[in-house]
Amino acid sequence: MWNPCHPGYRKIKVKRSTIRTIFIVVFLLPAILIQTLLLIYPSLRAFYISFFEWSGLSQEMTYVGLQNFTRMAQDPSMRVSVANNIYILIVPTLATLFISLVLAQTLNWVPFGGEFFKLLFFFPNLLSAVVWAIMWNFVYNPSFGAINTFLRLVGLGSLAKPWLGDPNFELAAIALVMIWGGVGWYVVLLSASIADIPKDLFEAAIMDGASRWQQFIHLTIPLVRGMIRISVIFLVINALQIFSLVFVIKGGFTDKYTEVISTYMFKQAFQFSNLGYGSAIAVFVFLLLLVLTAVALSFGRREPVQF
Amino acid sequence: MKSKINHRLWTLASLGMVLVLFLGACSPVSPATQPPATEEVEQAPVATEEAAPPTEAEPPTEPAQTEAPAVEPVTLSFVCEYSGYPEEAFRNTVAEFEAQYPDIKIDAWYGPWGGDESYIKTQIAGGVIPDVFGNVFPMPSTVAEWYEEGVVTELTPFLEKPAFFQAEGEKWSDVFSAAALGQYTIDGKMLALPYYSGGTGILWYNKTIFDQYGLTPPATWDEFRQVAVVLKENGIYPVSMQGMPYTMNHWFRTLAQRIAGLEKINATAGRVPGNSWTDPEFMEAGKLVQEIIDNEWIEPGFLGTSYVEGMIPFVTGIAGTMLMSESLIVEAGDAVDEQYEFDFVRWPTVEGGKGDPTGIGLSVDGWAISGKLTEEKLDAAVKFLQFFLSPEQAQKQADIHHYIIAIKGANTSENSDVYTLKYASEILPTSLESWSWWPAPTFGPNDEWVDRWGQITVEWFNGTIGYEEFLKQTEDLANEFAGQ
Repeated sequence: MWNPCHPGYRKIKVKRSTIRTIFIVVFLLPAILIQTLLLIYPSLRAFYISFFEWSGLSQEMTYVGLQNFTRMAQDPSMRVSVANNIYILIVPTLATLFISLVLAQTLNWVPFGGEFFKLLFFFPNLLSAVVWAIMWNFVYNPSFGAINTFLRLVGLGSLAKPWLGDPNFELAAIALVMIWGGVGWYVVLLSASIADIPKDLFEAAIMDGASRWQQFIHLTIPLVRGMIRISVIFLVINALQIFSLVFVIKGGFTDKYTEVISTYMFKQAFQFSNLGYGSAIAVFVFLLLLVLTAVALSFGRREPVQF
Repeated sequence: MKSKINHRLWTLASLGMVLVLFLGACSPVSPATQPPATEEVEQAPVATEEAAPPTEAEPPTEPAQTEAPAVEPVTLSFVCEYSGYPEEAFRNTVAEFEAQYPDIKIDAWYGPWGGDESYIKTQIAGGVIPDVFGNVFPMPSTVAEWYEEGVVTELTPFLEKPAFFQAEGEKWSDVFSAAALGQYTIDGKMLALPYYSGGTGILWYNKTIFDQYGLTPPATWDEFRQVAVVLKENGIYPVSMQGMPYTMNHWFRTLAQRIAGLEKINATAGRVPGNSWTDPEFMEAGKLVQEIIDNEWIEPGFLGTSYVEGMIPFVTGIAGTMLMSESLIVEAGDAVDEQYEFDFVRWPTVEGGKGDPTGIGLSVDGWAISGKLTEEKLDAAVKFLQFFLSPEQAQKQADIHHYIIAIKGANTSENSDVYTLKYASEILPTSLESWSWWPAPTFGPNDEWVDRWGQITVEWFNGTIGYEEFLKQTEDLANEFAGQ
């Protein structure tokens, strides 16, 4: 049987590869089915619905072509949502990245306790965004929240504000929660990348008289740019898809100062029964994410650093 | 070579799958699938028609026979988002109904007390319309949309006739509180039946603080103004308010009713020529609300507070009054400072106002019947609701859940809290007109309008714009939506 000249030898070879294929397919099938049913099919369906006017209640869908998309361009509420989302895209993203880098570098320098602090910073990631929103609602409460209570305690009661009700501060208040919640995850990611940098590079820099800050700017950041790029992509995706935090922290009543694209999409699709228009907004977000991700991936692409 | 072929085959297979999915996703909406019970209706036996088969306009006039049915009973799907105390009460009612009418089976599903019609909306969007359904606070605007889509059936013909437990000459509509019944009367059509009817248009006051400063509950706006001045002088904020748009503009809506009257409001919202939100009556209402903003009578920090957070200044003695429903103390729960006593009165009138002084904002939930039923199932559904909402059954339910319900003579029992009892016995029965706690459809057409109006309201209350600009933008918004 095992003799290559034996007539049955090739048959066994074919059967093994077929069995292997079947084995792989069987184990992949559940995941494929779930992805298909819960992700691919609904996505394609949403894309299709975006070309229709449909309330979600009626059995009739009226084809409107690109009208939902042109409506988006003229919709003042959509413009406000996009503007707020741009703020969310830029401010928390940059702040989270910078703080995470600094913390990751610092934790790599400290002689002990680094792992403990990484765990501490990572703690918010064990909670859902809904929990973040509920917790911070209490912190921001104008009457008994931690922030205003502290300000009154130290004699700065005049600075106490309705943080989630003051139009000048509410979006910043939400951005702060995003930073608080996001930093830990990226500290862990970036710490791992920084740890991969050979120590002798830093030793050489120290011998050349480089300060900590100079090491950070000229060594650390360039050498972890790959991870930074990935982090930016994640942060951009999170910023564009943010929903739970904003919706829950505002008690479901987002106004023009806190409306973001996802909450506006939710309102249109499920509260105002404009499922077609809501789907069009979803398609817009998807395309925007594609473009931004492509830009992030291509920006600063160089040969990978090898140590 | 073989690996290349396999690779190509896999690629082709994957692309083929995506194409199939795309074609499947791009199929038109399939017709609503009828609930399984529909098939039973198609085989419905002739025997059930013997039980006074009514026409679409005639509700049954005599009880169904209790004899064992010769054929399969009619099954009604019954969905309500009412878990908790009400569920027990409803289960009892359903059991009694089935025992009394064995030719009708009720397939009941009790969902979580979630509000916002989320479960029912999802079902309807999926093409499955329960035969009878009800839940917490379906917005009248939502019910109006449902009617346009054929999701609910108009109940006016049934309400104009006696229910099976009534005598000739009576009307089923007489069973309900007049104020509550108006909530789901849209363009003269009654689309749903009210059940729970809490009042949102009552003025709560801190009795302990009022007694301390020798104040009496205000019956007019002038008296309210005097009370507010005294409270403010003594370090008590006159008003506690939640930071949500609909609670803020509730002040305007209530004063608008007192000054302009509901008829004027309906005409203005309905864009009847000659009516505008910038008319003098509404300007006066806006001016009165501006007074509480400019004088800083509202507890600072209310902006951005949630529904419960906004109650805390009132129940802890920081603020002296609040516009809320009769369930305020119950909902505030442990936050209530027990050193204070609280009470409420009907909302103050405004001198010279044209509105009904008994008018009240109401939060009403309702029961509706599917618009897709066959004649036989429709009759069964009407019979079921008549039984379910009869005074006898309603009283049994109220004895269990203690909620205020919109059925006359069947209200809370002595086990209810004192505030609920007061509201049920003094306020609701003597209220002749009402408007929804939700701005639509009384003040605007739909939820999208409500959202946009809410944003304008927030601008008003955070000081960005004044009442004149608020009313001008309201008028512009109304015209924009009328033109849609």
